[in-house]
Amino acid sequence: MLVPYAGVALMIAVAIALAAVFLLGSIYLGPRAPNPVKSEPWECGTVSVGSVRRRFSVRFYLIALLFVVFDVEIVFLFPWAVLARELGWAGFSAMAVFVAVLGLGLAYVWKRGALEWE
Amino acid sequence: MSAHDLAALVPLVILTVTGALCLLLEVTGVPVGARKLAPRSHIVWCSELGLAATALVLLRLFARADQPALAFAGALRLDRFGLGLGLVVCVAAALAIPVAVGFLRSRDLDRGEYYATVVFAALGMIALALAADLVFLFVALETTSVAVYILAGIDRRSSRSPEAALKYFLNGAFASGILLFGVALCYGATRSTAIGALGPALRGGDGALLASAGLLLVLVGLGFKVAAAPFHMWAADAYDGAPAPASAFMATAVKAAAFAALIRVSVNAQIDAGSGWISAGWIIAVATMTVGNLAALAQRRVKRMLAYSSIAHAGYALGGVVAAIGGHTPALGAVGFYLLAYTLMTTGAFGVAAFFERADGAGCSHDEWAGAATRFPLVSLAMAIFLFSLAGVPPTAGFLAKLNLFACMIDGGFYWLAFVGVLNSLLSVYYYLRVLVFMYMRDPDPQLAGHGGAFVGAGLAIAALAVLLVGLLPGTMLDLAAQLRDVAPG
Repeated sequence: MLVPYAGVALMIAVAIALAAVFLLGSIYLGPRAPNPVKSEPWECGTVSVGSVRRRFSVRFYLIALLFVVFDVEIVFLFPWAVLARELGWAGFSAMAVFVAVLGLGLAYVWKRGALEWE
Repeated sequence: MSAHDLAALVPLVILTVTGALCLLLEVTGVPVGARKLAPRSHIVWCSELGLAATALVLLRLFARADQPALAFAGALRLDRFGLGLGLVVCVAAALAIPVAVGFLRSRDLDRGEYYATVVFAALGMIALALAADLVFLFVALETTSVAVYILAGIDRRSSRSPEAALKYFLNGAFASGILLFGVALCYGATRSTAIGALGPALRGGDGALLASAGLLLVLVGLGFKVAAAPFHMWAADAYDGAPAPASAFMATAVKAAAFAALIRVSVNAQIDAGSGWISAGWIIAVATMTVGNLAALAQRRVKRMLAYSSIAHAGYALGGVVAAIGGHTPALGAVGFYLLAYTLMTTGAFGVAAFFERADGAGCSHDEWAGAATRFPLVSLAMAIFLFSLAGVPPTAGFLAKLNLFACMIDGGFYWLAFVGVLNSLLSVYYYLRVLVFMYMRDPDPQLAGHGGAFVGAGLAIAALAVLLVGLLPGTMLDLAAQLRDVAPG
């Protein structure tokens, strides 16, 4: 009963072994020469300033949420665009309703002022 | 797209458009025709009209649903049971909106978003009541839940409302996770997400154990949503902490829709009358009504008492569900009728709490309601009607619904269940009437204030009249409820 899953088990074992080899290899083989600058938390190559535990404007979240919504829209639009001709008017009308709902949401967010940064 | 697909789509599309309109009316400014009304009255009217239109469509579908039909490749089932509970959801939403207006205005929360969220939640609930497919059921449940989390936390400047929303959200998220795990197991056992496929899988074959585990997890997930003991812990904090108008909606509509899903899943599982599922079901029913009632006895806040009372009422309804699972079909109609009566009286009672509630949940304790009857005679009268109905005193809807439900339990052979139910409802008389003792027999508290208005008055009056009317002239409603027979696959 479990035989078909042997491949999955083998893959998990290989994945764990491979990760262990890489990690242990870098621990034991890698040269190490720490200095104060190297030990600092890395922040895009610049010298880090202040603490990370500070409050962010709620606008970041709004923008991120909107981004996710439109990102998902793209995920749906691309496969449809590839098959647009085959799907015909049924596909087009379904997509039109979907985009219209999103457009409505965008209009609401816009009018509500969530896109203004000031 | 078949005719059934279109028919199933109409109520959902009406609600989607209504919700979107509420949002757009909020941001576009007041239309010329509505300038003379109080601010945002037009949005209240818009949501009410949308709900009324939906209810009319559901009634029409109800009348034509003598032959149940599947829509969207089995995702929805248009039968009288689902449509009837969809109507209960419409009633709950249509009553919860007007009783909210006074409170929302007093806290500067009177925004189109509130009404839109209620409408979107109602959309999810109606879909939930009609769901015949586990994946569709999950999506409908999440549509409902996410909207209701927002309603619970709508009073974000208060200290209690966000806490209630967070507790509700965390518990609800766990419940959804458990339910989804159950759905996955059911799919593994039946190779289908159709609810109707559960019954055959449970009765034998390779997948019976897997299907039982799946069914158990799905029922536990739904048990969280109806606040059945031992999954009721969140309910008191969530209903007490959330603004009272939101609680009015959460405690009624969510419960009606979740009961619809619970009944559809459990009845479709076609459990043998003698199996352990039935015993487990009635132990949970007894535990739910007893825990709710005992905890309600000790409460000093009316809102919290109502929260525990809603747990107790879920217990009575669960008793009916157990009778229905045990094969006594009329119990389905009795539960439906019970949920309607419960919706009317609980929306009303929470609506009165919304009338008195001030910032941070003040104005909702027994002490603060002392002598309310001398200063707010009409609201107190309405509250008296709701409380008598909740306690099950004739001639109210609550009495008749309980009578009907307990009679069904006895007919189904669940004598002990009915006996414990009657004992429990005797117990509940104490804590319901205690509120009236405070309201009618104590010296008035000058601090007490209410936020009335035409909408609140109309909402409470309609709820109170409906409680009396259903209690005095129950014929039509009982006839309609008797038609909620059929949830099994056809």
